[in-house]
Amino acid sequence: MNKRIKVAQCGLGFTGRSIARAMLAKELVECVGAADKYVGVGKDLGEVVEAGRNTGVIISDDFEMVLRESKPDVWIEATASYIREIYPRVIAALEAGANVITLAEEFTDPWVYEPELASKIDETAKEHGVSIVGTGFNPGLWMDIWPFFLTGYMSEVKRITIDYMSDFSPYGRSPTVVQNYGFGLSPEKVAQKIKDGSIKLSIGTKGLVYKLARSMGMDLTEVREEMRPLVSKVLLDFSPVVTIKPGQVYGGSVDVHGTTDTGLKIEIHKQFCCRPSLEMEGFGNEPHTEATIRLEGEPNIKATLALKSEKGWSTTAPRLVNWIPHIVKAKPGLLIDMNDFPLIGAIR
Amino acid sequence: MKNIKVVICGTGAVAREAAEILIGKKGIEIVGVVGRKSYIGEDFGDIIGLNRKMGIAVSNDLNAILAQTKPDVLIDATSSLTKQVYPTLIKALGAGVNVVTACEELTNPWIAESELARKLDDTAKKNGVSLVTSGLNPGWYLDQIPYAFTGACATVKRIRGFRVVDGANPADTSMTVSRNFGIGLEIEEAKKQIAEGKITGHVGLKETIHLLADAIGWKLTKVKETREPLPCPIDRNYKIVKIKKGQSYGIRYNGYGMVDNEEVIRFDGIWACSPTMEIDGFEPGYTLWIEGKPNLKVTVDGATGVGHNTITPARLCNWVPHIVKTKPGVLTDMTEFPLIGVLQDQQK
Repeated sequence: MNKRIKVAQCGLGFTGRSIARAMLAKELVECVGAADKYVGVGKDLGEVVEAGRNTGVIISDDFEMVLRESKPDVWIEATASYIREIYPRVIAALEAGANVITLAEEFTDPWVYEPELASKIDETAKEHGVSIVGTGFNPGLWMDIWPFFLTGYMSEVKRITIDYMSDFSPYGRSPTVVQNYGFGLSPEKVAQKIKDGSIKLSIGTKGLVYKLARSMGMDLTEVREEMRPLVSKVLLDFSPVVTIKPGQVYGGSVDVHGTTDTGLKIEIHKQFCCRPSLEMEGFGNEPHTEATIRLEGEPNIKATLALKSEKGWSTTAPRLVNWIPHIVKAKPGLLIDMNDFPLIGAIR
Repeated sequence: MKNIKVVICGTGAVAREAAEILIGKKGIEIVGVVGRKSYIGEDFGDIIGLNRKMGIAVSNDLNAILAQTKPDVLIDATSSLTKQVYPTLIKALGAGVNVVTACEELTNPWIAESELARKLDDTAKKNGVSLVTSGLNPGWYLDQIPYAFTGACATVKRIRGFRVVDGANPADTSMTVSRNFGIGLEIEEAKKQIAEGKITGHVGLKETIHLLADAIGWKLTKVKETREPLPCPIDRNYKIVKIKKGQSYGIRYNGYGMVDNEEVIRFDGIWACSPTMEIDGFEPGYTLWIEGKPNLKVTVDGATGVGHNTITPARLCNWVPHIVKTKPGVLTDMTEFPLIGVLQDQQK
């Protein structure tokens, strides 16, 4: 693999900038274009993402022009969580012959959320001989890839239980995150908003259970998804954006229970909150994510994972970047069956 | 889809368990068994205690089996030594059959046996088939597990693994295995036997360190391995071996991969009889640290005993549907490996 892979990226929000920064450090990758409606338009990508150097790539607000002029091998779509929102750009990229890597959470299992659009995306990709995958921390690592990877050392799986906890204190001053999850509101208010759909604590979590079952050759006969707000016991000061008082919402939890036709149970318990312990113990903005994967069967395997890092290095950005050399070789279409996925490590 | 036809080579514990696993799996069919003389003509169903005939008689004529059954995959679970498995593997590859082998010495054949590796690789490529060495070692804690978890990282600076294996089982059951690890010897005698190569500890440690480094893209300038006997802190009595305080009850082995003066990979292994945190200061388990962006700590429970483990046969079997699709040749480059999960069960 001597030729560098040409990549263009759409979306330069918080995560998008991490992706670009990680990508610019990779010897296998050449960044050829960048688009965002608002962020850094007209400026050099390197400057906007603080890569420490200029790249010669000027950010444009016209994604079609970027696609047309940069002719990328890979299009990174780092804009939104919903298939419907990214659909036009995804189709345009696939039609231009670019493979697509997206962080949209509904890509855990697009057929669960948007079956018609999913089929169209799949057909378009196949027609142009390119592939598309949704990845990041969710989907892409903790609750789908790693559990499935570990089943590869088992002969039989009877139960999969995944507990995931993510610290959101680094996002406590992100107005979007605060608003999206109702931080600082009363639990009753947030429960109401969850009910009417104006707050979505979980995008794509249910899809993870479908994706695991599908990749193990099973059909789900029952799936339940429950969401509830989590309430802080202490005062959390994220001024000027929000001050969360005791008794107010500082996170959320999502539980998904699935049962397959073969009796396999899959459970995902996902929590996120602005962890007060870290804030108070002077950890500052260090994100901390933990997960426990329990696989019951032959043999039993239990894995615990803990992540700690400087601000801005979640697992989403690296995962997208590490897919780059693999997506160009993957089988055409919308990748959802993990049996078709490559083993992915950190790339050069 | 057509069934994948598998020939099993070996009638030992791993081969038998592999056969038991495959019998319950979808899309895979055992078409032949190659075994030692004492089993020739016996039905394999009887040998593995299936309570029914499989209609497959054990044979020692590999050529005839390959010609008659035209398998897609040969699973080899006969020996840890390259010289012993080489004639079988080269024949299979020459007949256009993919190979999954448990031979530890073939972990990274380019290093130890480059001449044989070249022949295997040439033959595989000429016939459009692939060969992979897998199981617990290699395949699990020092190569694919660390590599899979680096897939969450933007950069990796250092990888460290610490694994403690409980050797109580051989001390209870097998004099041969106990001797291989120097159990019950005086420390000076154990040191002597380590120096003479009678006590080996982990086979293929250096080779595995190279596998991991190659996948990450590190050019190692030095790889070191050390082994020392462990004195038992108390008297410990087993069915076969009695160990007095101060006598050897296992081995400590360390592997280092260096780039110039920097230690980028470090693996600390302990193999000891019934260690506990209170008495020995360590207990069976596996912990992995990946230093980079972000930092990850992973613990994996499973396969912490010596002797019977399901992981080796399960891993060999789980490779079957993937080995028929991988690119031809001897597979040692993890950047080209598939993501492997558990095999799908037959419809019940």
